[in-house]
Amino acid sequence: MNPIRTFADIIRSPGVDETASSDAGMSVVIKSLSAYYGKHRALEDIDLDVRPGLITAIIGPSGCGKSTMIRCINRMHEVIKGAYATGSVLLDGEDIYAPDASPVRIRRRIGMVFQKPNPFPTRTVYENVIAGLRLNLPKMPKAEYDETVERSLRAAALWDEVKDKLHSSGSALSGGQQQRLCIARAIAIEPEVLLLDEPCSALDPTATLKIEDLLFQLKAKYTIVLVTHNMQQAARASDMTAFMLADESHVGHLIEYGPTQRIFMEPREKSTEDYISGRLG
Amino acid sequence: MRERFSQELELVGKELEALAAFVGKQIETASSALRTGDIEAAQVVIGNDKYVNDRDIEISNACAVLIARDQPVASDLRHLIACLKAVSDIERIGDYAVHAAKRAKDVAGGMKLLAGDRIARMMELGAAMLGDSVRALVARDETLARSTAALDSEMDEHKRVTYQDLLGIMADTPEALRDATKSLLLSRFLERMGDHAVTICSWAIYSASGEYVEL
Repeated sequence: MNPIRTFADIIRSPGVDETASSDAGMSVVIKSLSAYYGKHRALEDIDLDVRPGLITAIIGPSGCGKSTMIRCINRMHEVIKGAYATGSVLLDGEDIYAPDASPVRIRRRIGMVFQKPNPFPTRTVYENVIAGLRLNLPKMPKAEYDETVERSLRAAALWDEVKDKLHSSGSALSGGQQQRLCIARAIAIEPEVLLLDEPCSALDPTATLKIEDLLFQLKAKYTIVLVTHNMQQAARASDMTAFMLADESHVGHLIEYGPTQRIFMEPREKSTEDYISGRLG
Repeated sequence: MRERFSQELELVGKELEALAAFVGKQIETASSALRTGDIEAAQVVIGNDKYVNDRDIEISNACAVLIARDQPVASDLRHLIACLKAVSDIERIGDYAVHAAKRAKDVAGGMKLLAGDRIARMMELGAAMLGDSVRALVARDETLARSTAALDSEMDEHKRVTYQDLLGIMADTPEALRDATKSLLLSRFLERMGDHAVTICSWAIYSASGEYVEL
């Protein structure tokens, strides 16, 4: 169930109202972040203060570095051969690029969901949900796994649909269900931040709205960063919006960041207006 | 990109301007009918009101279709909302032209219009403010919106003086009570034309800047 909305919630933009930011989730402060693929620079000096307990949408045309940026938030970017990042990303004040920071520990605090639902095809729904736990943590008693599976699937709004087929293959589910299964898998490890890279681009409108409703519920517990190509999705589902752009003179950089309502009603930058109203390029 | 949408947005603006021009003409016709007691002209104005109401609904629907279909944002969305609001104000101004036309029929039936010069000037001013406010809205021209809204003080002044004069007449000449009351009410309605035009100016500024300003 979504929290009950009031008329005032339409008028009040959570990003504008400082108090609406909760202590849920973790702040992610990105400072002078640049990212490279070998010699090629893909991101230039990004400064972005992701507020805890809110949904932050990252929008921008293809190739502007959106995905690269969120992959820098959990040190996934450097997994690609030759790729590296400079600058810092502070999770609750702790620099994940500090020399002694452990990428594995960081990734456990940050869940990630990708564009295409990617449940492990040979594993059951149940095994999919606990895959991250098994990988990261010592073996637990079965009762604890059972409890985690139910809690995660409930949180991902999938429990009622799959509770009788927990031991069937995850790939037998519909696309929307598979994506919610991936969200369940991501939150099973109890991360503090959830990164979603175009999570609905392979889904139909009904499944998309279900995911958006789900994100709305999850933001009470997690800081959510959502990369999306879908302008309406950013407008509907997020509290804050960051617009990125790459052009002839600059690689991917941040153009404008602010409360979603303001970005979509009164953007300050012309390129933001051009992009969100479909007139860029 | 979005060429079709941009064209259609322009079309909405053209329709608004056309409707404003039509209502402007209604005001002029009613004004001259008031002066001459031309009952046929007055009847035409009254009969045309249905057209104005129908256009209001059509333009509102077109705005709703564009909002639903193209899901505009930022200045496009503000502009459509402003058009949607302004079209109701144009329609209301049309109603005041009809009111004046009804008084013109009274004039044909023997009523003496009092403060006729001021009333004629108010109608002229109302038509001009209507035309300019809608032009400001369509062109998203904040400067024109502000200068047009500033004309409302002249409108208010005419109403104030008319009110004073007619109250004096009522006190002095009780037999003129009926004509004076009808003339007084007419000036009150004409003054409302200015208020609606000012509201359109506020929407023009909202469209241009994102801020709704009481003018």
